[in-house]
Amino acid sequence: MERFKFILFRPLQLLPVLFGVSVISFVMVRSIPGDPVRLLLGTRATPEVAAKIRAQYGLDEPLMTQYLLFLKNLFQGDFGRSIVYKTSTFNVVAERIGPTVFLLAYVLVMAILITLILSTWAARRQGRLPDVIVRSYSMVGLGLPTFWLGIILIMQFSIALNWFPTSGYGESVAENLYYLFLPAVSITLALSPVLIRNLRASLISEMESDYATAARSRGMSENGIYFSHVLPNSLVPAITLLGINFAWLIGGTVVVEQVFSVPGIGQLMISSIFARDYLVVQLITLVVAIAVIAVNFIVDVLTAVIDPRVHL
Amino acid sequence: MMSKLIIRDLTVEIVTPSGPIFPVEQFSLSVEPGEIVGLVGESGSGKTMAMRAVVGILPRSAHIASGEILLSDADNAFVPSSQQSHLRHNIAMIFQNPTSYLDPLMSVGKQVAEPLRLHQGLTRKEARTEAIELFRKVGIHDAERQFDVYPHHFSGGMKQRVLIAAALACNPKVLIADEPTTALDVTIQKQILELLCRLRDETGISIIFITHDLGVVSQLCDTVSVLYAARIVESASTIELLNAPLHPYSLGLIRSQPESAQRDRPLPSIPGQPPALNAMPSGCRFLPRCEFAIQACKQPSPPPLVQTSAVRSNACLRWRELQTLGLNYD
Ligand SMILES: Nc1ncnc2c1ncn2[C@@H]1O[C@H](COP(=O)(O)OP(=O)(O)O)[C@@H](O)[C@H]1O
Ligand SMILES: [Mg+2]
Repeated sequence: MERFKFILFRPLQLLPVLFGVSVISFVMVRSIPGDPVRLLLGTRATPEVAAKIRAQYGLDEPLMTQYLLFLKNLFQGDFGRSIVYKTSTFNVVAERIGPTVFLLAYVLVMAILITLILSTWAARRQGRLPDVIVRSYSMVGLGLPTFWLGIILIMQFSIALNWFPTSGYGESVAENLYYLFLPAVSITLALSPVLIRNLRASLISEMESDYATAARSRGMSENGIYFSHVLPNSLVPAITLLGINFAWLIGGTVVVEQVFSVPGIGQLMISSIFARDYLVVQLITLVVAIAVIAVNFIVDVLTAVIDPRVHL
Repeated sequence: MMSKLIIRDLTVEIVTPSGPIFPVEQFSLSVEPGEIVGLVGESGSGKTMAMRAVVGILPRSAHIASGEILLSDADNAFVPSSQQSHLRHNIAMIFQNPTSYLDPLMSVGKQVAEPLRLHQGLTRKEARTEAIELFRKVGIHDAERQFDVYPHHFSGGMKQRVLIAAALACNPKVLIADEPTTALDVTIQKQILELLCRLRDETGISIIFITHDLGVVSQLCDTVSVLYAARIVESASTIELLNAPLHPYSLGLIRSQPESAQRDRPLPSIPGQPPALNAMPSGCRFLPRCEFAIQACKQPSPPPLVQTSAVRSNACLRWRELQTLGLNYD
């Protein structure tokens, strides 16, 4: 019942947050110097044409009026028109969201698998060679910037070895797995060290916990103890950390989409900022905010499912 | 089926950066079938470490340096310690702080069912039935419903009962109870002690009971061994040890029990502190605190535990003199 109420009412708590996000993104994107109409038309346009377009997009109204109009339209399910693409911003963003979602899912799967495998490998052989290797990896990887990793990977595997495309996006799932492999790897390489460090440390401390000792005293094998006690107990902090890093992960995606020319919303975000395509930037910001909140919500639900002491 | 447990000259070593330390040295103990053996000594004397070595659950940093742990099998033959690992669940253990020894994420019933499925190859359903039976046996009411409850809903006493049930699920020959009631209320403490007694009477299981409460020892234990600074200093039947201790440390322990204190006199305690593991005195380890010490006690190695009668042993050089002196409570 408690759980049900939480799942029902939590989305309502989202509203004030989204309101805040919409205000901030509205103000920030408009405080960047530059004029969208100027950028669109170039220097040769007559002032009359510019004024016409400005009026068409409501850019001649005072800021407050513009914001209220934006809100009003938002509640009617109208996200406004993109000044660059001349069509509904909703369509513009919807068209470009596929590659980004695919890339994020790719990274999540890759990072979770790598984290589980390497942390387990290191923790079960604490202090021995596998542990040393994994610890060095997580130490070195912790400081590497995503864009640099991306460029190195392109130079090595796309240009020198010609194994992977340097850029782009495929048409089928299989093609996407191929096209987005290097982008996903470069984000995973930057994200996994912090996850591995954390999971390895909790696995080791749970392996030495009293209840693991008790299970050992009852003749359970190390494998049995690992899967039925140690791993579940280490999962809660690991999932929490992954949730916290989700916002960072989206930031990484923006960078990597740029480096690998992936036509996702990260790339769209950057080009829209350069073009001062205000409404597109605002919509992407809202989408990202909803995604971050949704992920944290999922983390909370998972935590409560795993740990009976946690109440939603 | 009942078994006899023999621990012979067990030494546990911990390698530290500043050299090895020995939290348990030359530890010998034998436990007859159905017997309750007390193990007493100040905290830090190595009681837990010794018993962890016996069960095979030493911390990572520690290992058995020498010694044997033998358990008689159905043919009354003794199985050597080299085969200990597959015998591990024949010696089960319950612990001082029941809360931390239960997995918070698993229902109490499952934690009892786990060893049943492992050792007896029961199906999930059979194990459930069997675990509920064990819950009843250890005095958990409404066992059927409690099966699916998580540990944090249980009181300390109930958690200890769950741990006892989980230990019994291994069908052990010997149960080691490491200060099982120290963390519990006095009334609960009494119930747990009664439960252990009843289990011994009903199943013939042997119990090693660790405590620093000699009152509990006198109620519960058939024999008792006294541990001081990693070494056993005296072993005897409970009656003999409590009434006529033959080691100055045993005497000090008895004198410092609240029950033996006289009304308007302060509780006598043994002066000084037990030595640290990395700074053991040469000779008898109790020497710096001993009122009976003589020059001979300063010999290079600690005096060995010697048999003083068929059922007693002692590690004091002066035990004969002390016997004639008649150590008493004054
Ligand atoms: N994991 C460990 N590493 C190093 N020393 C330990 C460890 N656990 C216990 N010790 C030391 O071993 C000695 C015996 O401890 P323990 O067996 O717990 O004593 P007791 O159960 O009699 O109170 C103590 O001096 C303690 O400090
Ligand atoms: Mg202890």
